[in-house]
Amino acid sequence: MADEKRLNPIADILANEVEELRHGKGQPQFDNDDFPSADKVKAVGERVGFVSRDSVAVKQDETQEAVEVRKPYRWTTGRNRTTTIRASDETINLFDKVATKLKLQKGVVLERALAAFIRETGVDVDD
Amino acid sequence: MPIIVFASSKGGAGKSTSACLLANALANTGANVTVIDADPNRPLTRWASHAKLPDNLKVVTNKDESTILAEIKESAANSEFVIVDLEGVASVTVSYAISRANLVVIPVQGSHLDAVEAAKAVRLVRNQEEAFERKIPFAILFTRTSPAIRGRTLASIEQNFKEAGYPVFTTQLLEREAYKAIFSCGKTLYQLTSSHSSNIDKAVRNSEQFALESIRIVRGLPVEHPDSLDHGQDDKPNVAEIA
Repeated sequence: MADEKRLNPIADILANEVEELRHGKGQPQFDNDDFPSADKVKAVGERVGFVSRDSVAVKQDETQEAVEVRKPYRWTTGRNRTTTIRASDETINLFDKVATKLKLQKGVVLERALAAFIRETGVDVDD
Repeated sequence: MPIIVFASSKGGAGKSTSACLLANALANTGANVTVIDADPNRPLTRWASHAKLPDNLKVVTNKDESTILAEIKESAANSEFVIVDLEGVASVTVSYAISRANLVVIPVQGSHLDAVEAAKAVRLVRNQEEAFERKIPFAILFTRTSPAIRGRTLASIEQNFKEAGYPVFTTQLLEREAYKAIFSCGKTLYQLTSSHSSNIDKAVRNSEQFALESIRIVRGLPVEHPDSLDHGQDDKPNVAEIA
């Protein structure tokens, strides 16, 4: 045993120090009530860059709001009906040419053509 | 009972190894020691799952920042020593643990990067001391150093710390194969044999010097230079071991 002590005196000194600590000599006093609250500790840490690394759950209504904000832009013309008109090749070709030349949809060409026709003939379509 | 926290926002500074060595040394005296592994990489939890730990040495895994304070409180109520190994980032968990510490050990390798992160930890300690009017003992611990070669960078960092008034452990944790073998072999330092690593006796003495100095700081006692405690025994690793 004496030989062991000579081999490693630090182990004995350390054991003595721990034993003294165990008997209250130099034992730090603990009282959890004296410790600062978690919120205060967090605030002090954040001031010097020690911030939360945990993920934060997003509330459902916040998620919904975010979705609505990101709703894609959509523009509707109201031209969602189809009709079949019997016409000659020349008329159909002319219709295509006008729409192409004016770079307009055929529904728009039809609307404008009807409006011009009403203006020209003065026909009353409100009846 | 004393709560000893290992903090540095730099990964790889030696927090887990030095925390493990302190826990080993204290447990070897017969003290009841709990290590809280608060590093998300769980190095000490992994080590404990492979090692056959003595009954008086326990490793518990902390879940996240919301549980660390309760974990420390519970461990302090049931153990003679609580050792907290923190993650290598500047986080709220670090703030929480330091707020309960009786000693903050800040490991630093001899690099400028480590020194900068160490300074951040010191700033946090000092901010808490000022805000809460509570003295929080802390000290810089140089890790993985070589007594055979003392680089200019290390000397410069030591000088900077001295000028900044940072307390520095007189003991340095040397670069030792035995410290790596603890993790690679899944053993405590005291379970290693010559088949695992060479110079285990020197590794034991080095880690016990560090443990002794830690306890004296906690107790508010003056720290003796390790050479005066070692009664002239040479603790320097040989050059071959360093290489």
